[in-house]
Amino acid sequence: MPNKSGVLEQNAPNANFVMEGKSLYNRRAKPVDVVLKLLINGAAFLCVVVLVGILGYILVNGLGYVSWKFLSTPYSETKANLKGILPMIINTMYIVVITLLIAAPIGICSAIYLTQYAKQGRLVKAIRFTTEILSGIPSILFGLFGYTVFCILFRLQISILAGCLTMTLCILPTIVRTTEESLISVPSSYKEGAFALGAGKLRVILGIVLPCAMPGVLTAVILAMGRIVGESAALLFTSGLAYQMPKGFFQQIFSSGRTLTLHLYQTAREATTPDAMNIAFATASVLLILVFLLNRLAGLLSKTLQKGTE
Amino acid sequence: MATNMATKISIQNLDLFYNDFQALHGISLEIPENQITAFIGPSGCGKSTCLKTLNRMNDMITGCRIEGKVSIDGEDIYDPRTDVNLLRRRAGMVFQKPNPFPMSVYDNIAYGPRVHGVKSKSQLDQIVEKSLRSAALWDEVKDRLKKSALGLSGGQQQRLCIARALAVDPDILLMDEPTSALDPISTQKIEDLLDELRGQYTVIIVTHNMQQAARISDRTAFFLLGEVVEFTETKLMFEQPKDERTERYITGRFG
Amino acid sequence: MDRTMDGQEGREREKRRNAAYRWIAAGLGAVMILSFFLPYITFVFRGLTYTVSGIQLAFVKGFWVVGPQQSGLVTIPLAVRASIVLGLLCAVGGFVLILLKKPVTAGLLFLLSGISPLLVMAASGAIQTAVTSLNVSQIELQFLWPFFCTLLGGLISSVLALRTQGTERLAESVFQVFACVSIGSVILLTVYIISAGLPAILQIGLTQFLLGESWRPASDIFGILPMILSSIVGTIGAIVLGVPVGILTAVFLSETASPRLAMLVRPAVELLAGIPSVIYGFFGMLVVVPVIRNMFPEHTIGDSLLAVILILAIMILPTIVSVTETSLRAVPAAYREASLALGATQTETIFKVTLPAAKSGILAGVILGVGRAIGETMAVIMVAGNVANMPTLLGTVRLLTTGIAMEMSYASGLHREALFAIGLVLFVFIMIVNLLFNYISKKGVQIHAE
Repeated sequence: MPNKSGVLEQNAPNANFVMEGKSLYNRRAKPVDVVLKLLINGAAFLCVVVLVGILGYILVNGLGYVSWKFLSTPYSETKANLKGILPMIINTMYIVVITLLIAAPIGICSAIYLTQYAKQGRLVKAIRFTTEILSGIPSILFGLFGYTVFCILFRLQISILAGCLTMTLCILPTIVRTTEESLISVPSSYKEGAFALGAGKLRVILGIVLPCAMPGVLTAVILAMGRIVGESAALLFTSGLAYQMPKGFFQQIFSSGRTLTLHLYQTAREATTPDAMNIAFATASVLLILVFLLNRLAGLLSKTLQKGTE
Repeated sequence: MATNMATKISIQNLDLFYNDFQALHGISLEIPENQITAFIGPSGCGKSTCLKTLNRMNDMITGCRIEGKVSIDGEDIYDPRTDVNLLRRRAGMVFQKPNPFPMSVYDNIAYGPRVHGVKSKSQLDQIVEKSLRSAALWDEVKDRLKKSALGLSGGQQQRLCIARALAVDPDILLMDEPTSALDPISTQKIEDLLDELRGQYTVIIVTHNMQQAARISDRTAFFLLGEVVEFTETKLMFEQPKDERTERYITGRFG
Repeated sequence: MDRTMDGQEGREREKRRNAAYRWIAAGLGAVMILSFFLPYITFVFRGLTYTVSGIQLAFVKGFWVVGPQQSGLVTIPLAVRASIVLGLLCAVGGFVLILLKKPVTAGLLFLLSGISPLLVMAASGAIQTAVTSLNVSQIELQFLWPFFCTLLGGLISSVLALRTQGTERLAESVFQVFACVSIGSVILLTVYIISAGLPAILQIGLTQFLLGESWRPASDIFGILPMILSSIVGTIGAIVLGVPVGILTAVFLSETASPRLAMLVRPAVELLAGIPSVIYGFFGMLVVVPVIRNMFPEHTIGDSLLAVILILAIMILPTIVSVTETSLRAVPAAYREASLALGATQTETIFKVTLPAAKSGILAGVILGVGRAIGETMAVIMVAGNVANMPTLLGTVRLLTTGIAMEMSYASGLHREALFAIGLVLFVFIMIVNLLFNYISKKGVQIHAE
């Protein structure tokens, strides 16, 4: 038997390799381990330092300049007493609200169709694939597309509406995918229960499935809000850089208006005096706080979502 | 069989807690060298837990705490001076489900020696062949050493895991229900292999299967609700159990 | 029971209601057909107005524009004619089918007909360009009420037609239409980017465009090799710096950190992901660039490829960390146990077993990071210096993305088309990256499924 010979070899006194003594009482760290552990901790430390560095640098320089006056005054490049960011805040709100008004229904309805109606065949797979691909496309390409299609082809000019339509394309894939995931995670027993009571499909979807998936859908919407607030490249050519105060509620939709991000971009690039730099810092601080509040909100929501499914 | 009765592992008054729950109550066992010792008992009785204290795999479970003393060759393995890695090298472990690494057969065996500082290719080749031969797997895999170990059958994978454990020169082999995930033929092969290893390694095998314990072990410990009810020579335990609970268990009246 | 009593009566009522819907939809269809024969668009041109109906727009050849230097026939674009004919045919088809009680197809046709004004609107932009190119004066297009009749009538009549099939059917169709909008926009975007980018590439010549070393729009020289190389080198640099840090941080989070420390580091990484790219650019401009300038005062003004690399490395960190952490957590605990049981230390286990087992997931994360780095625009534009030089570590560079962003606002003619072509090149890069990502993440799934 072949394994017999193996055993015979094993019986020989020569062990596989030399052990340094038999005693277990020989505790010491391997140098390579120590170095690698240091590197691991160092990397994590570095991440925290980078974050604290960026946050600290911007907030320390900017928060002092943020005041109610700063938030509530219009902006002018020439007049020294008009250096507020009110128009940018309004424009940002316009873009966030209108974009969500367009994108959320389309995205949610698409997700409902894909998960509840469409036959789970090749088509749905293809759709999923394309949305995945789309979510990787850089925003500058969306900007390019939005500029030529919405601003020029559809004659919207450089306007907030054109910016909103462009942002709709940007965030649609994310909304569709996140909503899809939360719709799929609704236990099918809920649906079956409702069907068993004789409810129609639409009623089951609107009354049972969608409410159950609501925290997930809301998280998607809030993440999208964060994305819109932080977006700049897609809006540079579509919603433009104008900073006038709105002349009318609807008129503003069709005129150009810069968001907070673009305001930061523009003031930072053109700043020559320390005062101008302060405006940039303060804008950056406001932007950071806004984005973090949104992220926090999304985090809280997804936590309640997890609790719900447990 | 009982000629060599030197104690290899000594467990004294071992209590083990998972947070507030006490899983082991005052276990005391003297496990003899170079014999096969079986731990049997109904599931949840603490036999696997007890096995894991012997190479301190329980260290990884948060909230796990032990009291009492476990020593190998007279050295307390829970002593602060103890090198856990050296301990685990000397007490190899084979798990319930075969768990080869997602690497080639060769690299699976060579993993341990490499970790412990063997670099020379020829020496590694030698160790791989020897370990595979010891695990009665060499003839089956010698032509596919460079292929992924995940392509082997379940039984082959388990013998590979045994070979992998043997490659680092352990003197103890801890086996946690090594055949429970295998078919009868593979189980038979593992049992044959254990028979070959008898006398060279101190083997402790946890098993659900009483016939298996009866077939291969020299001594058997019967665990119940975190306690050792009886620990004696296998033959004695199965022919004339001292404790009534042991008798009821091995005759299949509860399980 | 109420239900059975009401059943007969309810069905009767529903029948009557559906008939009413059908007739209203048919009426709207008739209005839509009519609207193509009514004044549709007014061209306002040098203070004069020309009003044409939809059907005229479809069949007249074009109109003569007499300018000071040039005169010419401005033809009506084929797309405009096609849209109008399509709209009219769909309206007629819908009208006939609804009378034949085929509401589903009719609804679809009405919807298509309702979209046709939008297509006309989009396609008629070419008329404006053509007139403007004759250097006469601006031409204004005004769309009249029948135009909007078609739009609204199409939407309402399609909803009514489908409503006759019951709420369920209507709802499904509505969801379906929205799904089509999402998918359609994706397809449109792709088609558009390709079709807008190709002409310039064909005109300039593929090799000249891709391998040309200088970019001088004023003299019609369009070579983007410096931008391509800068983008690639910048991305590689960011990967070289960011990936090790990212992977090690992920190891920290999933393997070595105590829960409390992980609770500190994980939010930090998540916050990094949330910072808008303009702020990264701002930080880079004020901190990274001056530091580089002060370190090598003779060699650089600070804005440089190095600054780009540093900023991008920070920006891809969160992606790498989160994807790697997820794939590390997916590695079966049995591998770790087996390694530890052989006497390997925790670090040896991580680097020799856990990380190799998670390698396809980590690779997917890296590729995702590549995609993010190559597409980043606003952060980079603020630190790159934006001169189209061949990439050197301390020299100013222009990347594909910043190339577009810098000049889009004033470019025209071939210059603008060349910018679209840059967009196409960027798109191709991203597609390759995405397909790779898809391929690798699928492969990863298969391995874990085994």
